Amino acid sequence: MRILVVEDERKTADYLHQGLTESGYVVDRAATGVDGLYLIEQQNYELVILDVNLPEKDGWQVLEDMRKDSSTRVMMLSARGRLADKVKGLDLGADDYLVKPFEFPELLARVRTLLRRSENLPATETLRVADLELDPRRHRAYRGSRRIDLTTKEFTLLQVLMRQSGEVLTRTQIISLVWDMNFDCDTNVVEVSISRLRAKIDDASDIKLIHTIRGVGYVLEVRQ
Amino acid sequence: MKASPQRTASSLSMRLGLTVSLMGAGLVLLLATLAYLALSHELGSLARESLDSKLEQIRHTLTSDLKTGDIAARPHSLLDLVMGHDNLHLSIFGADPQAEALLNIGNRNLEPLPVALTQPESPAFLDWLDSAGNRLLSASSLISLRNGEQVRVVLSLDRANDQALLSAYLRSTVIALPLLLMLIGIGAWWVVQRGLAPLQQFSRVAAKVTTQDLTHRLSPDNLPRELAELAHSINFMLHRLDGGVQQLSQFSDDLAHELRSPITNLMGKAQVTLSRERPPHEYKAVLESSTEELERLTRIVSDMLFLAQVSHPASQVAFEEVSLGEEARRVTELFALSAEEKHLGISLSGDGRVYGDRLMIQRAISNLLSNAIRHSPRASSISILVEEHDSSVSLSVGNPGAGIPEQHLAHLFERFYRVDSSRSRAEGGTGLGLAIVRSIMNLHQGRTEVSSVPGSFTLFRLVFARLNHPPRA
Repeated sequence: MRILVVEDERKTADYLHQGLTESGYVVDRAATGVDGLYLIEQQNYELVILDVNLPEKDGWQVLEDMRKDSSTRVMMLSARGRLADKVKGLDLGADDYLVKPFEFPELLARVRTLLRRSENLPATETLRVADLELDPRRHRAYRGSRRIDLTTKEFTLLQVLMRQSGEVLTRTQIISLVWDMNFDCDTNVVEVSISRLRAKIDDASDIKLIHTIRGVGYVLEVRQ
Repeated sequence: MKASPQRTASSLSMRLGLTVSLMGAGLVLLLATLAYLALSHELGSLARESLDSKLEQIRHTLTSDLKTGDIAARPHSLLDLVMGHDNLHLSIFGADPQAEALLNIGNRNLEPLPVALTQPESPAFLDWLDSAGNRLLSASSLISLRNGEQVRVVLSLDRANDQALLSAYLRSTVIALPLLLMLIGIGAWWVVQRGLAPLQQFSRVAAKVTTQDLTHRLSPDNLPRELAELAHSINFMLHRLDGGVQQLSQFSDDLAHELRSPITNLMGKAQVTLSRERPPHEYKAVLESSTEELERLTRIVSDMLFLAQVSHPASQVAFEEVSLGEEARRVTELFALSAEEKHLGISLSGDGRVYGDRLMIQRAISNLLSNAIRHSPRASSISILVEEHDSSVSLSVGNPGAGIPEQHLAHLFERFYRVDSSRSRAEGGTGLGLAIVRSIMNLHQGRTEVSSVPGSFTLFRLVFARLNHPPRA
């Protein structure tokens, strides 16, 4: 899948390029709005990540121009977090609007969400990672043949981690998905919940599934 | 940019001076005209009176001892009456008005007299001009002599003197008027200048005021009342600005300080790490610890942005009906595990609906609760209470603990204010939590209260206006 990053700040563009490439995407870069528009016309991109502050032609104009004949998904990046700016972006046809400073895993998660928006996963499907099994319909979890007793929140947390197995989820994302709190709160609830969940799932098994990536977040996957 | 239409700035004193002179001019002209009219009227009636009395004397002389024939002989008795006054002229006609006058006494020849004077039904007085253009006032009367004969007596008064007096008056008025007007104008200008002189104090103070120095004030003691009020308002405005500017500069100081230490740490650590070759796991450890430090920086920046957004007067937030009890329950759920770790109980009671932004209210409650958890001793209990009052709804979060010394209470909601700086920074707070709570409450037109008993208990309270009306569309 091809992604275009239109960003004039070199360091930002560098790490977006690196991060997205390492996550398996083909990434092109443009440093100005005019270059960006040119590339959009030449190439078929699945997603354009568009900074608002650009030389020559700013992000709003680029978005307006490209929307005339293209329905490519667009994620706007901006240092301006006012509601009016967000509304303006979405009104002009952006699919998402991310405010700087943001965490890279969050950007990655949003990119994934945007790119698979069409293929909806049924929420009730039984999830499996290694010998860990989660059945949302019957609200049960098994590790091998062992039934695991989970609280409601632990169950939701496990479901979130398993559905996005292999992806790193940040603390903020987890709070948003599990506790439905969409702001940065000063609490260690995620650390505590993860350590309790880990005790129930991994402590009795040789294969550890829940991993902490220090400074970034948490991931549920099989590691060799 | 369009240039605004140029306006000639006019001096207030000049304008007032001119206006006052114009008004003065009108007034003086009116007065002069009135005086002229009165004078001319008075002179006219004086002339009539004197003619009348003279005529009476002549009538007396004629009726007492003269006959028609005597008249032509210019009797002394008549001459004496008229000759002393060189502005008088006497003509006496016989029965036939068309005939020559029987007698003409006077300095000048007045022939021909106006016809009106010699008619039988002639007016008592007549104003007229002779052939030389002199103004004359004549009185005419039929007088019966002793022998029964009738004569017509016409007595005329030359009004040259009166004319001269009137025109002298006019002349002096015309000469004096411009002078007078100038005096009035200059006087008005001077009075206005003097009256506005205190304004120079205003401009002196205004010239001295800068963002660095807002300490100058106007002294209202010697000002007239109208200006004293203005001076008071300006002083008050300067006072508020001073407070605001000081707070801002204090704030940027604090912010720079707050950002400097994590940045110094990051920089130092990176430089030390790069100064020699290391095994990969050491690099990894440095990156991990850097990320944690950066996370804190990010949180400070996000909080700052949030504060700026909330404090911006034009920030538009779509308010909705929010249940404080429900939001408190959800926030408590989030913090339940943290509280459990410290063996803290959280009790929640009461409910009340307010009008506001759900996310912000959650955030305010969350900041208070996280503080409460941080400052409660192990195995104690935190209480959240939502109460409805007559005109307000309040949510209070109380926790036992060391409490807050009174001198800190007033500053708690200031940005970056810390009661014990070393401790809370180590626990990862940004120092902006309570400032955010206050900004959120300001945005909701509510207020924050705090009370504390050192050594025992601390209570924070959010007070919202009570929801009486359905939300406006």
